[in-house]
Amino acid sequence: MQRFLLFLHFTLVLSTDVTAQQEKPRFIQFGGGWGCYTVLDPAVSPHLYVGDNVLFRIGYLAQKPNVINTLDIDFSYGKLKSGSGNILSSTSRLIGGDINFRKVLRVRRAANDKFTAYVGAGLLTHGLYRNYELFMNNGSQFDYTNSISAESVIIKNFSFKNRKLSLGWRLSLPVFSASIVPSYNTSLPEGFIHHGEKPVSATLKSVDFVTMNAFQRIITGLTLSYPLLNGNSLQLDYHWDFYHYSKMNKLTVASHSFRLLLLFGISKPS
Amino acid sequence: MKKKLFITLLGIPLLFSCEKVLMEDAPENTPVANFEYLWDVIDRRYSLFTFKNINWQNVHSTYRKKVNNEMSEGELFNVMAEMLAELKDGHVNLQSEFDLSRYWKTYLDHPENFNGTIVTKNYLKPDHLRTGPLLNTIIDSIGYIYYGSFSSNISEHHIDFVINRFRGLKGVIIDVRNNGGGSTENVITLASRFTDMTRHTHNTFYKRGPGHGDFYPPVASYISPGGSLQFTRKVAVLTNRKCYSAANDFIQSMNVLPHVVIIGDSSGGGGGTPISHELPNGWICRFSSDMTEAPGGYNLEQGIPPDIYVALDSTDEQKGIDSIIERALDELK
Repeated sequence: MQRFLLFLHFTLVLSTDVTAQQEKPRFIQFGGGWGCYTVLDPAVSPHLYVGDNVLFRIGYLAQKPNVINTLDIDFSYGKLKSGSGNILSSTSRLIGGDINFRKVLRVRRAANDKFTAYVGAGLLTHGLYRNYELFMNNGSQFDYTNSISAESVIIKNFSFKNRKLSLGWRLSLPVFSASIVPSYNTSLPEGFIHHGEKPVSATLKSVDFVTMNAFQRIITGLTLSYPLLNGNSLQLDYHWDFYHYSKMNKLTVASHSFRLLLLFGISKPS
Repeated sequence: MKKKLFITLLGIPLLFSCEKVLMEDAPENTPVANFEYLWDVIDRRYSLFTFKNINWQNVHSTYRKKVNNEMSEGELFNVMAEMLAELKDGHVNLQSEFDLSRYWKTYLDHPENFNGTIVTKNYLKPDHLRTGPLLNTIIDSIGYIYYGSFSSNISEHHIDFVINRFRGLKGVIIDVRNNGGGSTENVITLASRFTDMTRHTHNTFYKRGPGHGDFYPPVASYISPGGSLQFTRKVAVLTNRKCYSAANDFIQSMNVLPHVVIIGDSSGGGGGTPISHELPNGWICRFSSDMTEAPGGYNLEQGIPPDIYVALDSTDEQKGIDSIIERALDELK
């Protein structure tokens, strides 16, 4: 932790030369943070399972005047505790992963050039595994979803102590999804309860194609970007992810994530 | 600018609270609410209502009258446990911080047909080997294995050693009396070493919805020869009413093999896979979630009858003789 703070300190000190600010169109980003998950999984409990998790991200960002492409690979690990308050209270280990690709195109730039709006589409892959430690045979629960989403981003540039900062707001709304969840009374998806089924065929049998009537998800968040030396930047990222799966085994999940990300420019300005 | 930033930052905590609005509230934590929740979970998820011909709605009518919001936790626990006992299922429990309800009539109402002291003293004897969880010896040129719990893991090394030891013998007795179950992986590890070819052992009916008869089409399970060595000469499996759950699965897996004979009493059953569910007050209930049948349609919940019924003879028992082992030795010689 001390090493990280030292690293952060030097990074900020190095960035004090405002004349060195440059803009680079492509970045590799990585970082980590803290999150909080709330899970309501009526297949195993009527209680909210709530807990902290640690987050890691590596990603890629290509930001041109008219188009922004992002690829984020997120990983989270944490522990949830039942809200029952009983001393038997079950706990659950949680492992989550996301691979999200988003492409947005500029649709409007304000006359004063202070904010820009983008819209586009995304391919979102999300998986969340929970292991309820006290539960026998159905302690392993998960959900896995691939979605096509509608995306919007608004970026507002502003100055703060002679530095050009930007604040980004984004919204993702999956409109069409392919989901896999365990069958009614088991930890296995429907296709996998048939022993000896080939993995591809079992997966296809397990997939549930759903639209917003059966799977509602909203991802929204804010990103504050702070320029560093040589066109690199530091980002403080917050996002809220909420989804509700309303098929046979209903599931509701909400998460809040706070990340500190370093963006390293990988190409010179054109 | 500062004002806008302030409003934006203020919005973040609002998101924390708005998700609670979007999530269903947990049911009330009152005796009545807990009773209703338990009844409903069992109604929607228990798998053996149709097979056992249980009218769960009548059970509700009977026990709901005994529940009120003034009763103590202990009283509520007892009513719920009594209600669950109507399912007559050893896989059904209610766990609280002070008790665990259970249904043991599957064996308490029957003769035990096992005397561990006699087995240890007069058959295993002090020089027997303990190869992992497999207690083994040779009795009159017949191999004898006692395996007391499928919760104790068997490794390939353990079973290789035992099969090698018994390789030249005429037959093997596998005694699983008083084995209350455990992991089905151990069932496959052990049974596959006595299997001559791939054989259909049972069909599983998984629930697909909340209706009492909502099941997927049956899923067939097979047992195939496993490991580097198999013993396919005569085998006797010794059983009693305490053989339950995974032990019941093992007996069924051996039951389909032509060189295997089941000797003793009927097994206790436990053909459904138990799963758990939390209640509003934090207690945890466990119940059967699916149903298994032998290839001919016999429901394995009712226990597997032996090929040769033998009870432990009390006169023999007084002399230190295990009638069931003796019959198995006669059968294999």
